[in-house]
Amino acid sequence: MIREPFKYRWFVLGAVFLILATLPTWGSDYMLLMGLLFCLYAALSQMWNLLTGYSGLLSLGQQAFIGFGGYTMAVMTSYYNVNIWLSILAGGVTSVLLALFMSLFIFRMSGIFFAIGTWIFAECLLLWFSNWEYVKYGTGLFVKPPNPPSMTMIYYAALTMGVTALAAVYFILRSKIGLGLMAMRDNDAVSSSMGVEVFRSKLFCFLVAAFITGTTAGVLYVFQIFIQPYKAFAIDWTVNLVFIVIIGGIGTIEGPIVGSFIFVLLSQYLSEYGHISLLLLGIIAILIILVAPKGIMGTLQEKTGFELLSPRRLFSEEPR
Amino acid sequence: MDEKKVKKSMSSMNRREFVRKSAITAGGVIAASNFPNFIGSAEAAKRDYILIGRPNPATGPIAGFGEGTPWADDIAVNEINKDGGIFIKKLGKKLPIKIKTVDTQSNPTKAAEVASQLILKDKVDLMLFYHTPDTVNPISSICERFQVPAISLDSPLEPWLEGGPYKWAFHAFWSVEKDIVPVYTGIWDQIETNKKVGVLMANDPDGVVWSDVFKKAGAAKGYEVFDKGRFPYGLQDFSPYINDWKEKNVEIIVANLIPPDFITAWKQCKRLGFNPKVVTVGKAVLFPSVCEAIGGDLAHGLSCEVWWSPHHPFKSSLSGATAQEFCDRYTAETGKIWAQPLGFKYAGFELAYDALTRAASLDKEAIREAIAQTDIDTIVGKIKFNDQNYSRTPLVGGQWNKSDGKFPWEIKITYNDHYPDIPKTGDMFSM
Repeated sequence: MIREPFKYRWFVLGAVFLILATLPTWGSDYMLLMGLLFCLYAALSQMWNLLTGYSGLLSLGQQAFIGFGGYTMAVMTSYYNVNIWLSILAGGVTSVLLALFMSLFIFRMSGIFFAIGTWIFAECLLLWFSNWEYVKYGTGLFVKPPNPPSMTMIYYAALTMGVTALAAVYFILRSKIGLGLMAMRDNDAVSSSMGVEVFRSKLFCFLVAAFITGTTAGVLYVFQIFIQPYKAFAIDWTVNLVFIVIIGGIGTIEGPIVGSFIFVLLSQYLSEYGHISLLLLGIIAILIILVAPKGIMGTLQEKTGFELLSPRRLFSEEPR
Repeated sequence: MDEKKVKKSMSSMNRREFVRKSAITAGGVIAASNFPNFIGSAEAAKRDYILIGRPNPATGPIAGFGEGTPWADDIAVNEINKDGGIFIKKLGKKLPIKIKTVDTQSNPTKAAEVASQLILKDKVDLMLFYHTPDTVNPISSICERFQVPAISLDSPLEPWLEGGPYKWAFHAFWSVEKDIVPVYTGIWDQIETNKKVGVLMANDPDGVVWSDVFKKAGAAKGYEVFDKGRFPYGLQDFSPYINDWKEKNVEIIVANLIPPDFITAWKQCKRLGFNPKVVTVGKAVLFPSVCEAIGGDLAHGLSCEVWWSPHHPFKSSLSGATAQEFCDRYTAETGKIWAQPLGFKYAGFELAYDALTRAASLDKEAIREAIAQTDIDTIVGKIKFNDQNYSRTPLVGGQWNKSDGKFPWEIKITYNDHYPDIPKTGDMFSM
């Protein structure tokens, strides 16, 4: 059954964007912080969703790019006094190089082996950075840029990353590559025999995800100020991204956005509960999965056909 | 459709419905009852108390340091608020202090996040935090960014200074190079040995910094230091290290690692017949609970640094209670034996009270100025911040003894050359 896309979707998206873009002018400092975290988590989880939800690349190693991008930014700003925005972009570039190197090995694996491969790579990076004198071993680095940016500037950088990630996923999925990706995810062998370039499409997505994840991590660590290998390369990052995408709705473009919103609200609020905060987060995840097995947006789509951004092209949308 | 099928489908519907409805209701109630907290901060401006933010590692690998947190905090807050709190000149009245404790999960990323939350949402007037670089470093930086006065204790000075120069953050503790090395080598000098030292340190910030410092400083003091490198947490087989020490005839072990790893390593030493004369351990054997966990008499004679004890001749500036009285009270009220971080937790509130009283204002700059002028005798000793915003606290050495008293393990202070006011309570013996 083909449903008409939600009529006012561009209006809704425009309104959300406008609210976020003008937040620094009317919101409190605290709302700015929440908006900042929301945009960063939305960008990171959007990329994990692109890999796992659309390309069938189950990555447990996103923290490799988070740590690598963060460390690139920290080293360039603190050791060489490079402009902070340039350093953040450089973090994206080094992450792409890292992804290219990783792909030599892990693209020979598939499914769960791919997942373990990415994870092992991230763990290797953790060991490398914690034993590397140049980055002061495990003691961590303080990010000391020559001109520290204001909260508003960091916020706009985060918003840029959130919007870029969303746009990247939307346009990739609506392109020829996107069609191929979804075919591949559903059946690798058949789509390959039908002429889909499996390897190139997967690699393309992997590199895009690496770039955006690495760049976003740079913005994240400008905000955090302090980077340390045991946490920058920790699996916790991917666990959080999985949580966000699963509760939001895997394989939907809106899912990571809704998931990030819920995650940021919950994690800010639950930290006041000390010991039981993680327990509560787990219970909430279980409840959401029980009520909405495909995540909030996935279930909403299934039940009502509500979709803000569809990866599918419909006949009615084609130029007549 | 026959009746049975209908019934069956209805009953399964009901169960599903029930789960769904109860989940939605529960979620709704939680969300509705708490929503104002998510956004509400408007009333912060006109509140009638002073708010101190307390990010604390309540969960995760350094949660052990958090032991005693609500207890020491509550005592200090009650003492401060007993007479109405702190006088604020502008309001012409006294305001009580309140604390807001949040969990950092022992994670520097989370710590920065919750600190930002405390500053931006709760509008804390002062930040007070402790325990290891994972907590102290990120939060100090966040306080610098948002220009909030911050007092921290209980984390070695060197890693903290990396983040400087500081304007808003102030820190008090000891230095690895200036305090730990003299105390450790001082402990070793009391026993006759061949001056050969084996290094047992984990691959973490402390292990990396300590091993580096000891290799340089140990050699300068005439000790021959053998280091086979860092090891990851959770190592099960220490025999390569132990065999190397046996081969090199090592008689002193210097260690910095987490308690479970030390327990494994020390038991293996004994099993392989390796009996060094002195074993000085940072981090792992600070707490009596670890000595108990090692089992038997194996902890008898282990030595470590002592930052604070009931024997320290210091008094609370709030209540006048001595360190001994303070520890006795802890034991009486909780049934547990004292631990070193206890005094530091309390001292943070002494510093906060002292600075706020002198500032007599909620203006951030006035509070910062007052902290910078701090010169006070606390339960952990004299604290006076220098122009780099830190103050060194006294450090002595101690040795664990099996005891016949109420608690099975007791630490005796056996080295005090740099702070002779802190009395020795025992003599160093060879293991």
